[in-house]
Amino acid sequence: VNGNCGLSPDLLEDFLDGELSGRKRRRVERHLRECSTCRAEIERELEVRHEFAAMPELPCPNAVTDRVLQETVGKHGTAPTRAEEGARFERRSPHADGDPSPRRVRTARWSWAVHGPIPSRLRVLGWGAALAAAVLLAVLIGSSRHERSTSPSPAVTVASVERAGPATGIDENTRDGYRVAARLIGRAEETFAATFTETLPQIVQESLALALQRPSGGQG
Amino acid sequence: MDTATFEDLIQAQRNRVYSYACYVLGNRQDAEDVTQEAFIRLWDRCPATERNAMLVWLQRVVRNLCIDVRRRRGRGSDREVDLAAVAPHELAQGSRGSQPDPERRLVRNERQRALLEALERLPVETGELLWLHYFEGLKYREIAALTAANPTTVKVRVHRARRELRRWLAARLKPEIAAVPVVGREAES
Repeated sequence: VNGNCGLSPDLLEDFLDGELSGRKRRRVERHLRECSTCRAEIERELEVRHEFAAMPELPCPNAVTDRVLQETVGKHGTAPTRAEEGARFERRSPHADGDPSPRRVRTARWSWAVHGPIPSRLRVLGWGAALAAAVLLAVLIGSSRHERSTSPSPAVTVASVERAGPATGIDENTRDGYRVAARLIGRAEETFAATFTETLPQIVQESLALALQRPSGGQG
Repeated sequence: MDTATFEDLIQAQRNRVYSYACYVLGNRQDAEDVTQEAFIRLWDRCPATERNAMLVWLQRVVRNLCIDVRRRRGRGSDREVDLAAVAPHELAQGSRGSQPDPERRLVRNERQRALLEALERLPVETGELLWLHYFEGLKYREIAALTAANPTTVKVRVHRARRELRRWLAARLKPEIAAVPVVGREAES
């Protein structure tokens, strides 16, 4: 009830919205002729509408849209697809650290490292293994050329290690390391892995441990 | 979304988005942040391909960002800054309505500032509903689509919010301001 006049407030709102017709509308019109409270309500409502409608549209500073274009079109050229998650934005909350500016932190990742065959949970270990394996590869290539140039290459490949599974003693992280290292030096996985002997996995794992402790490289 | 469409949307919507954020948040810096983030999200994430759907998506993002900002900073914490955010000359000169004479312009400014203050004082959801209803001129079903609510529920909420706003204004406005009839008089003056 609108005040003490007996008219339902919702009926008055419907009247203001122009949703009443016929008998209901005539009833409200009759009521308004007699009720100053409801007339005042309607007057106030019309004023509110009038003032809202008269509010200006504020001009958005050009700097804002410039930043938008720089962050989007200027960077991409085309809209990113879901498959391009590797270059996805990651944004810090602009107020989370007290910094009021909406600076964005773009975390670009190597898309192949994200979408390749390496499970994401192994990515860190894989990179460490890659580093260690690359160092070892250089050592091995040098030693095999100068000291064991006549030795036959062991037929150990990433594929064979994967087929053999845990029996090889080469864990999943290391196998990932092989793959990443092979990519890093731009060689086929099979060619790369063929230089390994059965004794290497232990060495790789030790180097991996060193590499993870000292990201600058397993130099000891 | 291609670049031309995106740039066209920016040009067409930038002032509307900024105005919404500025009036609802009452703070230019926050409004700029929201505007920037909303358009970047539009480019990055909007799944819609049809223009109207993009606009609905954009408005929803703006709305959510504004709610986030207001919740983060707390209600009415920097209201004095908010009122200063909209300069008197902007309220009058940029008006979408008719241009009143100086005396009525003062009255208009006072009333519009009271409305802006009401938007800030009222609960976030209420202020948002009122803005969409009055400033954006959206119909109940459009607000419902935007806020993922039932149209009937939206209608009830808008009715309640309007009554709340009127009560607030009746208590807030100085009698001499409230007494000046503005509606329908300016064209004659």
